[in-house]
Amino acid sequence: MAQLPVKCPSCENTLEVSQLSCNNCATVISGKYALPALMQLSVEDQNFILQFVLTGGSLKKMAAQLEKSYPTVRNKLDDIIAQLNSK
Amino acid sequence: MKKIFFQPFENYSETKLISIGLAGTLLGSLIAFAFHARFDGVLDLHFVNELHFYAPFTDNFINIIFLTIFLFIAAILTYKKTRIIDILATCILARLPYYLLSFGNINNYLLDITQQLVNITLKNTQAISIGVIDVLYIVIFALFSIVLLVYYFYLLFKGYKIATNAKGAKPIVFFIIAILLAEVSSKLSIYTLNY
Repeated sequence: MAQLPVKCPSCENTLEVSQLSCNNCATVISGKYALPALMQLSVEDQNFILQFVLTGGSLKKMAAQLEKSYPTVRNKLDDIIAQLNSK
Repeated sequence: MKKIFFQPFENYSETKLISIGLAGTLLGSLIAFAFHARFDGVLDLHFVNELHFYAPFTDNFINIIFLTIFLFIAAILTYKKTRIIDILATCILARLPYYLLSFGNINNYLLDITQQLVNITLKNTQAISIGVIDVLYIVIFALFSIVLLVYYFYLLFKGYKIATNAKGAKPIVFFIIAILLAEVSSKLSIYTLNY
C-alpha cells in the first residue's frame, strides 16, 4: 500500500485531509480535516508506537523483540514523545 | 562485527554487556598481573617490578567504581531517567581494550627500557644500552596505546550517550569533567590505599 504523505512536496508544510471516500457506496466527503498527531509521524515511528502498544507498553519486551538494548528503545520513544509534543 | 566493536551499547542488553565486561575485567587483571602492569588510575597504566596478585584486580575495581559514580552523576544532571546499570555496563566494557596494553611488557621488556630512559634523563650513563629495536618498540607501543586509548574513549562516550540520550554540548562538557574527576579520585585512592 502506498505510503500516506504528510508533508507538502512543494513547501514542506503539513498536509490536511480534504477528501474521504467510502469504498462500498462511493460516498465522498469533502472538508478540511487536520491529520491526527500520530499520522504525522514517519512510518517507522508509527510502527514503533504500534509495537509499543502491542507489547503492553513494556520497553524491555520491545528491546528483546527488536534485538536492541533497553536505552536504545527508550531513547527512540523519548524522541517520538518530543516530536509529538512539538506538534 | 560492526555491532560488536562499534555499537555494542545499541544492540546488546545490559546483562550481556556486564557479563562479558566482568569476564574481560577478570582476564585483563590476570594478564596485568602476569605482565607486571598497574592500572593506577582511570587513564593510567604503569609497569612495575613487583606487585601483589590482588593489585591489578583492586586497581580495576577502583577505576570502574569511580568512573561509574562520576559518569552517573554527569548522566543524571543531563537526563533524569538514566539507569546506573547502563553506566556501569559502559564503564566495565569500555575499559576492556585498554587491558590489552599489558602485553606490551613481555618479559619486563618495556619496564627495562623505560628504566634505562630514566637513567639517561638522570645523566647516569652507566648501563645504557638502548638500540634501534628498543626505540622502534617504544614507538609502536606508543602508537598502539593511543589507538586503544581513543577506542576506550569512543566506547565510553558511546555508552554514556546512549544511556543518557545525550544531545548538544552540555552532556559532552559533563562527560569530560566526570572523566577528569574520576581520574583524580581513582589515582588518589590507589595511592592512599598503597596496596
